[in-house]
Amino acid sequence: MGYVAIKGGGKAIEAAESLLDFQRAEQGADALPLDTDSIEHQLRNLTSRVISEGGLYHPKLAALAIKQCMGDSLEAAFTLRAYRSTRPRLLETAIHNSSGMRVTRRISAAFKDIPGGQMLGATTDYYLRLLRMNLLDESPEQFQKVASNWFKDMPKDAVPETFPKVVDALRAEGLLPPVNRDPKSDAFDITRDPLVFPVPRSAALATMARAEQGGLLTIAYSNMRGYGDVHPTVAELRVGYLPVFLPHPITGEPIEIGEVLMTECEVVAMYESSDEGSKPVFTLGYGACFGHNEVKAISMAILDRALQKGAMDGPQNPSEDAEFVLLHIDGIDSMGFCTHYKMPHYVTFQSDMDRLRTTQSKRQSGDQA
Amino acid sequence: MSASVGYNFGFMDEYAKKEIRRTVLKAVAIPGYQVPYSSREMPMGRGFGTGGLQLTLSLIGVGDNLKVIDQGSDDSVNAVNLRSFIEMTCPGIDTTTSVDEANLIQSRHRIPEKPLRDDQVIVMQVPYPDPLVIVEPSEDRRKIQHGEGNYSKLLVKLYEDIVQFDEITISHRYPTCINNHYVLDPSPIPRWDVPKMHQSRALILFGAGREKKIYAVPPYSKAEPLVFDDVPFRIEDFRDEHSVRRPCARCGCTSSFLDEFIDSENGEKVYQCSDSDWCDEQLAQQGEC
Amino acid sequence: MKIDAIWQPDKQQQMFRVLLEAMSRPGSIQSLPAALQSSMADKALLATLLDGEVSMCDRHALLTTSDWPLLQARQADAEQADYILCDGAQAPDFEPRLGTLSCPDESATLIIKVRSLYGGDMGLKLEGPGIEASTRVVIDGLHPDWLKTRQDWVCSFPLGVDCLFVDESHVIGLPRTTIVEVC
Repeated sequence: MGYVAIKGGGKAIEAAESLLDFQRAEQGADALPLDTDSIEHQLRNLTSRVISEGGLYHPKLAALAIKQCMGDSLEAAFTLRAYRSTRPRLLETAIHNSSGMRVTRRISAAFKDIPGGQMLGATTDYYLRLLRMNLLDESPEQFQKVASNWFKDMPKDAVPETFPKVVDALRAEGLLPPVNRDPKSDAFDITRDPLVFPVPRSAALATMARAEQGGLLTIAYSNMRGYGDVHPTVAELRVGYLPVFLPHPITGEPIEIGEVLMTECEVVAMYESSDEGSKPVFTLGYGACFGHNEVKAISMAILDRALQKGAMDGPQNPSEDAEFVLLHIDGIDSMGFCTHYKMPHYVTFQSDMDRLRTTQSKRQSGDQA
Repeated sequence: MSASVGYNFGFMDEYAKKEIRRTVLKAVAIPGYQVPYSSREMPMGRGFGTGGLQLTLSLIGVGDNLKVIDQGSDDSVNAVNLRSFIEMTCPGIDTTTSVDEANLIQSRHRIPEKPLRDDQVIVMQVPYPDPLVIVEPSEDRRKIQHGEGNYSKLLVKLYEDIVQFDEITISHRYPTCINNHYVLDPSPIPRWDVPKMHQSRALILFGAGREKKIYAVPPYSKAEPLVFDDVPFRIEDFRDEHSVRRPCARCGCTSSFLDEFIDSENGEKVYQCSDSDWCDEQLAQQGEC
Repeated sequence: MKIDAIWQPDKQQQMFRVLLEAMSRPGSIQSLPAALQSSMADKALLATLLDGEVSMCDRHALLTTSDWPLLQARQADAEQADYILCDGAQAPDFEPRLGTLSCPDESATLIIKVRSLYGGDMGLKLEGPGIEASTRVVIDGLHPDWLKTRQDWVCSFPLGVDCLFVDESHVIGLPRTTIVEVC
């Protein structure tokens, strides 16, 4: 009897890999491969999502990951994250102030007239979700003309590059508490330290910043719908490029090494009963992530507020429980564990059958007795 | 494979390995305690053995001979996948399918049938590191219960099983007390393998990548499954309806953990050793006789 | 410039395996890897375990200032440090971190330098996890106060400290679980 339960794994893996590559090229003999520049620019929202969830600001490699994973955002973020594991952490930036952001869009739902004004920017918020059938067979000429026309009509220096922050104005009015920052406390690095609960707020923010957008949205939505009571107002949502500074290796002076596209959101929530004596103020929730991901930044800000409340009063809802939120929103962790159930579980299932048969036979003999 | 170009020996950077090594030493020093660590992403899915893999990659060096097992077999897809990744990123190491030849073993769901030696280390892949999770969802509270050695909730759960089914229904991942204090989850090994941890000559390391924990059973340590005095711990029963121990259909062994499957030709149940190296060795010995 | 072997990743991997054996089998005398024969055990050990993520206290000034930048570890008081390097000939005069009930791993690891791990007048009988029945070690140049003080530190498991004794080229591990008796 030569039958062995599991056999030929190596060959099967190789075949699966080549089949995947075939799928990527299946379109046909005269098709062209996707170039990563096109992915980075034309699938910019997907690229944003992948750099954010991958936790690595590298649009070029994110585009490569998207190409290689054939557009699966979880797989692409995962591949980028695994690449990140191979890189040592060499330097740490100082805390950056986002008022230095080169803004491409900023809005406030709290005030009509915010310092610097509202700037709608590129948004689908008021866009009619109607299929543009003419894009089905868009010619290269038509496509290229879109950008050249746009630049032609653009007045120079039409808008300022940076804007003051809305929350600074609220703080100046005493409606928000002053910034509570311990200059000695370093930000928690979730890539270097495991989460041991309770965790500092910086650990929660870092975990949410690279969370899977859908997971984050689901839990934040539960709070919005009624399993929680944050009732947020978006004080400011901004999208733009934040210059990043690192200390010069010799002089130690901060030097700009580049900029990262970011989305940042601050929500203001109703005030809480405060310590005796101090005046009541609004509370704040903060969200920020790499790339242009507004749903993610808003969800994160709401959850930040919910978690702060949970930390203070004890969690009343899932979205206020730090363990529940932070341990279930990582796309790489959750998708990995979900897919692992496809692996063989012969041994444990054998063990399960043994227990079931034993209890069945006990029950049977008990019934007969 | 061209993907290997530019990767460090062992894939992870040296700082990542150092952190894991420090964690491993603490895990060995506090038997059964789950030491948190930061856990890097590996290029395979969380749940596919990334915790075990990170341990192996932090331990392994030139001169080591590695065996990788999944479900008792070296040839299952996941075992093959992990082994070829380690071979690709750790040039100069040796791999083997023989327990005898290996000094480092990474395994999922089984401890080999052959007793391990002092010069061997076995790394177990762990999906759920904490046996208390079935009775206490909050890790914060679980950590306190572990520290106090307070396993009353778990014992109540076992007791309720006995009341309902007249038998403890935990089939695998059987909670096991190490050195009289910490109760650990021995990974999804069958109950059959639990006694092998007791006074094991080899160091046993456990890695949970997704849950970011490492723990250990040092050699020559007490490892006792949680039981009540009047309800003994029972390993899987491979006797037939006449109470005769079923043999492996391939090698005839009557002392190994068996896989059960249906013969595709006659539709009958067939039993065979789960540990393929053990089965091969039994066959080879019969050939010699 | 030739880089000392203790800083090379492949040597550190070998050294780690030596330390793992030492910690897994308390009382067993572990030799430095062959490739590190000309190095000092304490420095090879520190080079293997430390980086910028951890802190160390050089309690009895056994290191030179030039060692610190290479080790990358932050300097800390003995009461705060993750790792404490001590001269075993001197009586312990500090209180290391013992961890907490929830996090016993947040405790110090002590590296105690002695004259020799072979011979001498202090014979110790060891029992506990990692040891089959019992084993005996003889340490030369360890101040007798260490035994009593260590006993105080490890008496309420899971709290405690873990010790690595080193001479020039050998290591012995003594985790918190090891029961020590003078004999």
